[in-house]
Amino acid sequence: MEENDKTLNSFDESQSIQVIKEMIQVSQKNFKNDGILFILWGWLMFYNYVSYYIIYKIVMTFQMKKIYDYFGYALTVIAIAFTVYYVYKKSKKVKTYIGVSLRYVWISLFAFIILASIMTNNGMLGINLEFQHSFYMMFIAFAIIITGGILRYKLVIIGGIIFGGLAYVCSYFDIQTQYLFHAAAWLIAFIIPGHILYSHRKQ
Amino acid sequence: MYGDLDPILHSQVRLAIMSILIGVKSAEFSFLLENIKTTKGNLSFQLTKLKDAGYINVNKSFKGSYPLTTCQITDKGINAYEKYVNALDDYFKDFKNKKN
Repeated sequence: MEENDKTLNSFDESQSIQVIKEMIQVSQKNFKNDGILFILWGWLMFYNYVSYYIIYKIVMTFQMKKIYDYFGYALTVIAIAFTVYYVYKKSKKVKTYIGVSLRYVWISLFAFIILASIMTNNGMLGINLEFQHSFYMMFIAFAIIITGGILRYKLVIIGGIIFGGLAYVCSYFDIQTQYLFHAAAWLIAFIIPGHILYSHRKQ
Repeated sequence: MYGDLDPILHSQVRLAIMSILIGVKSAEFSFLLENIKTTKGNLSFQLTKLKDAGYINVNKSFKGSYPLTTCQITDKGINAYEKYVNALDDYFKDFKNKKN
């Protein structure tokens, strides 16, 4: 061990800068988002909203509708399980402030959407159910913009702004059309940036 | 060596450890070993030196039946690192001035 310290005495100031630079690269590599969760949730929600639209438009038997619904629930449960596993695996060796911040943003969003669902189901509030989608989309847009800011990724921020814009626009339409707006919003704010992030993951 | 540089940080491995820990909440021993070119023994020795100086906290626990060492930078460590980087900056400014 003493030998290690002896060799370190020859360590000079320019080497210090080199070490700092190299280690910053290690951190940056680790902060890079590979977009997998964007792709997963983007496609899942896109599928869900397009299928809600189809269910409304196509006459289905009660059994068929039930199968369709259960399939959607099963996919959501699988996505949640994968997300928990993926986040746990990623934070296994190193916990970054970015990772911790993003977890707070999305877990609190999830909790508030559940709370909002319970509140809007409470008849006392008298909220028009057709506005539900717009409100939820606004919550999600808020979280997307924060996520883009934390990741310093402009495309995600732009996606969040468009998501918010579509929330406003869809409030003028009936509930079936709102599903299409919702699906388009997930495509723009999650699927496209997710695939771009994924394609850049090794660069 | 430039006089104002903290001798505890002015070492390749210790500076590398601190440069990683300054940007993260915590890191496991295996993560540091993957990213710093050194041996297990040396990394362990340098972590002890940083811990003794109060620059990092080292938490030892178990994950299943395997030992798990997690490191986290302390406030004292953050201050020392900032001072070290500022001293390096001064060194290069002096060097530039002398050259001119």
